[in-house]
Amino acid sequence: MRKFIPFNKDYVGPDIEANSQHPEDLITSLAISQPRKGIRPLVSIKTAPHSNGTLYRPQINIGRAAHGDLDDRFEKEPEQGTDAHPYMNAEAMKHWGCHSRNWYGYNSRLWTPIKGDFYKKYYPEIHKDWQSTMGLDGPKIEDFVAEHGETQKAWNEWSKASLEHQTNSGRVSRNRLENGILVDPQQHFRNALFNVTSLYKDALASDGRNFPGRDTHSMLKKYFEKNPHLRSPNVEWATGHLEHLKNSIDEYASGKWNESNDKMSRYLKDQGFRDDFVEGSGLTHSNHELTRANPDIGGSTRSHLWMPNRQEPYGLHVTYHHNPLTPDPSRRHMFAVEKFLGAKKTHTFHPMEDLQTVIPQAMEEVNSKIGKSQQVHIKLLEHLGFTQFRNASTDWGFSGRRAPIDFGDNPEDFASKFLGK
Amino acid sequence: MGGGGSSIPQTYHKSGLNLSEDVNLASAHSIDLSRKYVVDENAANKALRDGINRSTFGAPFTIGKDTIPTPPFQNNDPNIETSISPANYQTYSQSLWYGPIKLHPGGQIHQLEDRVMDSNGKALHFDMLPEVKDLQYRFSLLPLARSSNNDRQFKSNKKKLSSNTSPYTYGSEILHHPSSFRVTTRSINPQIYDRSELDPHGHIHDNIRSMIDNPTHQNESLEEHINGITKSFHSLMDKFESGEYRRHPNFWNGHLFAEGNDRSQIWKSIGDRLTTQDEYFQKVNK
Repeated sequence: MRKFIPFNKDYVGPDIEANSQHPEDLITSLAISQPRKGIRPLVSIKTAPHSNGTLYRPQINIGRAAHGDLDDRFEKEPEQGTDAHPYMNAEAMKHWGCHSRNWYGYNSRLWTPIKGDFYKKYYPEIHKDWQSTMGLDGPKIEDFVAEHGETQKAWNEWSKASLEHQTNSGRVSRNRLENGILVDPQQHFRNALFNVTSLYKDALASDGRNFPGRDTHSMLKKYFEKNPHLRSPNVEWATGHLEHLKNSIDEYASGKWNESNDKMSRYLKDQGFRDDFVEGSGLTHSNHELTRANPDIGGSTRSHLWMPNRQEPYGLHVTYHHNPLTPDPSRRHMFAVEKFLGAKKTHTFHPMEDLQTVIPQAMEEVNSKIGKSQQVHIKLLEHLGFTQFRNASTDWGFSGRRAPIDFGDNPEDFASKFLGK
Repeated sequence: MGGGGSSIPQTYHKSGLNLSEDVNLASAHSIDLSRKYVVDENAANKALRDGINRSTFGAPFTIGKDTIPTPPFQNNDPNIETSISPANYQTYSQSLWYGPIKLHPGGQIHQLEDRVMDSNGKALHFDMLPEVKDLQYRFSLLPLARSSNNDRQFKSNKKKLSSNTSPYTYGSEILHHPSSFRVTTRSINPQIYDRSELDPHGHIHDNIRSMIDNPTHQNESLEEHINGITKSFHSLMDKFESGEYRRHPNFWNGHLFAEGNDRSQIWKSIGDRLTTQDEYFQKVNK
């Protein structure tokens, strides 16, 4: 039996049939419609060539660019290589006009980078030529070699110049520079990574051991060999870092971080925090995001919640964080506090040694805010296991507007009660 | 939150409702600011009778004596099928109405007498009186008034509500009274496409919508909104007491505003019904 699906989900009239479309009908109408030449149809019906046009089942093309893929930035398909493409068709170019728009209605502002991408991908030499004409290709290493010879200085100077070029050519990096933020944090990170992996190799694998991370190391090495401009040596920093890495590995192996976490859990439990947040359901809350960073060691939870009143949207959520790589020993064991104050949420990190000062203060603050907000933060609902919080008729158990309004004895009484006078 | 932008709000109202649900269309029905329909045993099965007659809150009525002479809905054409379905199908279909229900052939839906004659001698149904229309709007926005922490928020929430283009009639998330319904007729002859849909309470929803869209109302503070209730309520009662408004001789005496109910009694019933009968304050079991 055919099952009809109403056009509108709220449609409940008795004649669903007359106001509905069956999926088969949709496919049929798509299949018999003729897409424009050069466009791969979304649905087509094939016929058997030698059996009097018997229909095969409809063919649905769900691949990229079926029926014209509007998200295909490069417009590779289906027009690529056909004269439907304005950049392949002089007539079309004339017709559309430079910088006007393409078929999909991109305006010139969006069209320019698309055009750039097009040339970069299909005509790299034209793109390169254009870049050098515009002075966008950055300092050339040959110039520096000519000036300083094949020396470290040439390398350093070129490296400096190219970073500067990169900085000045982009609005984002210029802003970062003006605001005193690292212009290219990735570059610093990559430098460090390269140096650390090199030293790691030297330190741990010089005797030929198959050290962990070997594959990563050789991948990185290849990457940096191909992109020398992305690194600069910082041996000092990397040496220190390696030292930390080594110490942290030792600490991790000895389970010391876990000890610190247990200590935090015990303290928080004493303060009334709980690690099973969903009341009555028998479910134990687990904070999935955090189990990713560090492997969990049996039975120990890192996520604790305290609410002074389960009927009010106020609470503290505390999680444990282990930072084995930090060079600052006081920040190796840390805890994060999410403070829920109705509509507001704050998130702070503290070293573990501050636990017994930060927590009581935060509890006091949360306690003092009770009853002041009509709103609840989405994240608190998540902690409480309300994953379906968008469902309109969900009752989260928070007191608030569902409590009856006091209408008093007469309209005036009601007005003064309602307005809190 | 990933992907498509920052449009996902980070906070929700404590009750679990959002802005589009802060209009409570049920309140007009709960406190008799809407016209009342009733059906007798011959017109429909028990589910339909219970669904529609719920609006009387159990007060007795007699068809003929308490109803207007011509039933607003009746179907004597055997080729036309009439079905009734709840205005908010998603909320009430399973618990209260059990889906669309057909009116028996020849069945009639009656309207309880609620006409009032104003000083110009013009007869209006009770829910068309200007004071009542004002109260329909003001009561329906009480949840919004309650969830707004200050005047600024209240005003901006009303503007947001006004810019929300989703229909305030059936099918939206806005709460309806369980006894508000739609009437659908259709031709039984498949060769003839003849279909119509009536929303007997649509004018109330349109009234609330147009008042929400009115800039004067949008700029009202919380205090002005609440005092508006007092003002309209007293003005309505004053007019009844002074004789400026005259109830129809058959005015249904189960009506909250029927002859003989004094204003403090009526106000107490309003408070009572809105806090105990109104679906808004009760958990709807789907």
